[in-house]
Amino acid sequence: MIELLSMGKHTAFVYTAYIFSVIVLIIGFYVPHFILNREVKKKKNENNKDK
Amino acid sequence: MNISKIANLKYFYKHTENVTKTLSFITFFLFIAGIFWGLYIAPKDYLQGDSYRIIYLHVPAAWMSLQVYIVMAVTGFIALVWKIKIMEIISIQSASIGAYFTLIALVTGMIWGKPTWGTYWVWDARLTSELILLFLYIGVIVIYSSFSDKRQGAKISALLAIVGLINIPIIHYSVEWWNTLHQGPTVTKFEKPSAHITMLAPLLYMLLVFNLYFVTVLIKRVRLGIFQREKNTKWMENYLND
Amino acid sequence: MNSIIFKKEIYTYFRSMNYIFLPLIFFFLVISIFPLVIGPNKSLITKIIPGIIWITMIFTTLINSVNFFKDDYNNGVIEMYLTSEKSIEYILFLKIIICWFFTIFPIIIFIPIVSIMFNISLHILTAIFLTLLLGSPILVAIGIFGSALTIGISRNNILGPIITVPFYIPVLIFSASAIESVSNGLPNDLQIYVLLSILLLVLPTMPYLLKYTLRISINN
Repeated sequence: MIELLSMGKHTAFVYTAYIFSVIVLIIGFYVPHFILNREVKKKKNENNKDK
Repeated sequence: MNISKIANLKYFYKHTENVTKTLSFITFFLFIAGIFWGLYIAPKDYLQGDSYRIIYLHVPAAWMSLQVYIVMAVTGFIALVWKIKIMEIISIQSASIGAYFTLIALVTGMIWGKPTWGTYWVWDARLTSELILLFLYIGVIVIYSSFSDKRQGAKISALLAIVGLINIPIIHYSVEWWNTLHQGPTVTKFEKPSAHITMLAPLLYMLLVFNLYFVTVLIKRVRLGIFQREKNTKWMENYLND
Repeated sequence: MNSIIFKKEIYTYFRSMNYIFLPLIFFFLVISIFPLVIGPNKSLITKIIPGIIWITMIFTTLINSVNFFKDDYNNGVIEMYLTSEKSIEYILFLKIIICWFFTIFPIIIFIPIVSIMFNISLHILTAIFLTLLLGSPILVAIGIFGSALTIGISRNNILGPIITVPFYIPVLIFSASAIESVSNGLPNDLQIYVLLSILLLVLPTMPYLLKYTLRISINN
């Protein structure tokens, strides 16, 4: 199993690159997600308060 | 004409609510499959060993960074000339996505550079143009955010994006020209031999997956943009109360 | 009518000698602190002095051009330009040229003094002089474009330079290459011609681009 995961002498480089990219892509996806949910929630609270 | 423009945004917002969920699941699974393919199934390179596998993220990210810039400039042009609101939103939101792609391309390029050339950074044409591209993206994002009137901000940033589009090939070729002047007419650094199909296929696949990712995140961001613009309109309030 | 506009622009600069002298003083101040930072390494400074001159010129042009339309915007003059019958492109063209002539051209005249300060040989000095002469109008024109983009923003102090500097890069590369070719003994005709062609492309088209940008910025 360990031999399968190992990338020769460049293991650290390959995995760092992949983990960094995946993290940035996930962040890029969730930023609009959370901002939209937060703003919709805020707007709904305002609507309810007005009522 | 005015009503159909707002109806356009309303139509988009209402009909994409469920699309984003399915799209994001599909993208996620295809992406994981692509990573697995690139890391484990694709064969070892005879020159670089396993460190070449970084290209499965680096090349699609760099390609997308340019493609998204073109999308941003073209939609910005359409927004300037025909004043279509959704094109303004698409243009601005794709700037942020493009900046993320450029960041990934730069960092993965640096991480790949250390084992292959021994250094994290060289000031050759491609890396320098990619860095300047990041600054161009940041410029568009910052100039949009400093306008309080968002429609005017969208127009100005679209103009900046279009002028910047002309600038990108000029910078690339001038830096490349200057570097070849220094190196002399010898072999350039990246003499890629023609790659085997088992190494190319995951690359093309990852390119498609990155495009799918771009579409998914763009739809989410455009929904966010529409909400921020139209949150005080009647149709949005009715829609939220459902 | 055209001569009236011409005279009005020139008088703007003669009203206060600040416009002419302050960029000059800034240029020499920044050039003078470079040796302090780099150290007494004479050969190193001689090698990089063209780069230092160019970067200082970029900073001076940026600081000068970035607030170019500020006063006109605050006084409502730009709306007057846009609604006047005279072609605004000609007015803008004159403004660019006169701004360059009164703020940057004095610096270029004093470049030989820089050569005395840093012991630059004559053929390199002519290369520096020529590239500055051809390149600085381009820098001023692009800086004014950046200023037009950022008119509507209240605190645009550092935003203007951020969006303008990427457009300076081709001019920078060809100028630096021209100077370096001369210092290596090679001819630099190609680079000079490229600079000249960029100048002849940018200068006539900039007024039209500026008119479009101003129109957007003034919310027409």
